[in-house]
Amino acid sequence: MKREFKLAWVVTFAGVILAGCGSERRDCVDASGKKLPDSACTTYRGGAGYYGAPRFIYGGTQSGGRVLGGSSTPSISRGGFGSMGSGFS
Amino acid sequence: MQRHRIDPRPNWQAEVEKWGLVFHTHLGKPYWDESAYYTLGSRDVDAIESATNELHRLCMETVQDLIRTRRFREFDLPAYCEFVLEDYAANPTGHLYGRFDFAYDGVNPPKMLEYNADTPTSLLEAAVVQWQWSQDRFPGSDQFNSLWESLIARWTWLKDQKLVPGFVHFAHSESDEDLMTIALLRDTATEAGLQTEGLLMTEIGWNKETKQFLDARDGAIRKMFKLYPWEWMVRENFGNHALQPELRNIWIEPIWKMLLANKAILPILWERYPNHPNLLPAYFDGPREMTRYVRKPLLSREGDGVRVVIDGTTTEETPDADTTQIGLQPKYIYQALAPLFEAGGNHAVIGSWVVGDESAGVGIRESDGRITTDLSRFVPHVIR
Repeated sequence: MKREFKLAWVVTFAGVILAGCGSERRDCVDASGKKLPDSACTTYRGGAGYYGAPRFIYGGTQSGGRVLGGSSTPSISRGGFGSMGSGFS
Repeated sequence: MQRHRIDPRPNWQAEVEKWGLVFHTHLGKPYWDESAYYTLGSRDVDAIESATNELHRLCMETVQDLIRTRRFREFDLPAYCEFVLEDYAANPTGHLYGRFDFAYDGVNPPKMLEYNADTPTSLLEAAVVQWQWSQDRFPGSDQFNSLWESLIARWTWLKDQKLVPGFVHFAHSESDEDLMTIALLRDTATEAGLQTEGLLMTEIGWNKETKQFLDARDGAIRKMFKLYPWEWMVRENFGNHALQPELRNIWIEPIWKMLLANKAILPILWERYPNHPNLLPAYFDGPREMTRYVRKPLLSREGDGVRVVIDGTTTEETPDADTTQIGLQPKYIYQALAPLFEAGGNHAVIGSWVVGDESAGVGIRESDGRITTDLSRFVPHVIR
């Protein structure tokens, strides 16, 4: 039996992992845009949407320990899933 | 069913990495182990395939009855999940895949150990890597494996039935294994003509004004495959949002899969279908008459919290990280100990895949002991 796998995503991500690179850049920031450790976002347990909550910003430009711009807005909260780790079984 | 020794390919790490298996080594030992392989005869394949289809049918009947009769108390669910589950009797949504774990000794009928119906992994190695190994080592050989074609066909069916739109998001944890499982599923969805985007579970956004889940670019999520257990999702901050009436159908796998992935399904199946040749005796209230049994937590993955008891003595036990992680007191079921295929101190468990509602092949995991854990090895097979 002949079988052909078209593995675009598999090959792409395998290359990324083997190269030791992460995925798209993101930064955890506070309400003023100051950079925080990622754990501040992933372990945040406050109410969803609270303006002062740490949140991930995607893209934007970095200047003096702050991230300017990016795609998140105050009405959007992130980190409400994923605190438990890997889901494999 | 037989086990054979064979020399690994000299460059086996590079060979499997070429097909995406970058997590081939765990704690310095091979997870992908091609120093051995299994041969399955046509009688083995028939036995596993028919057991898989039969057990999946029984599971689907059972889950519908559980929902219809509101029998949820043994599953240790947050109460608000029960109302959502009731909805599914009238509004079923599409499911994708699952993996039974079987004890199979090559002689007696396969016995169901559990059903990983919500977040099964070891998919890339079962679907792609063991096939490539077989064509390298035994060109032209066959394998009990139609995972790639079956997943493409299932996505196509879901699309044709309008159970998925043209664009599907795929969410996962940060582990390499989860990422590569998602990558393979995205490739099969792409082959079915769907557009896909991936993101981390932690990147999922919630817009409190529009009441929508958002991707990392703030785009609305209309259909989401999540490689993340429902029992975790419903206990996290966004869990309540996920089950709002207008959002509860965006998820693959659907929430009723959490009933099948929960070990409480094992005593319920035994109660409904006593002495079924593919089931093991299992009870909620203790081992009863069993002298050789396994105590399993309701909620656990990768063999967490499992205890093997023979004649009153615990012979093997693993710590229970999963249940304590979500802040619950562990609850257990007791299942008869089934003999596993054993050769040279290696114990084999058959991972038997279901795509849609049909059997789609196997992957074999080997362990030194009787409990399959994250240290267990994936060993390829051919049909002979």
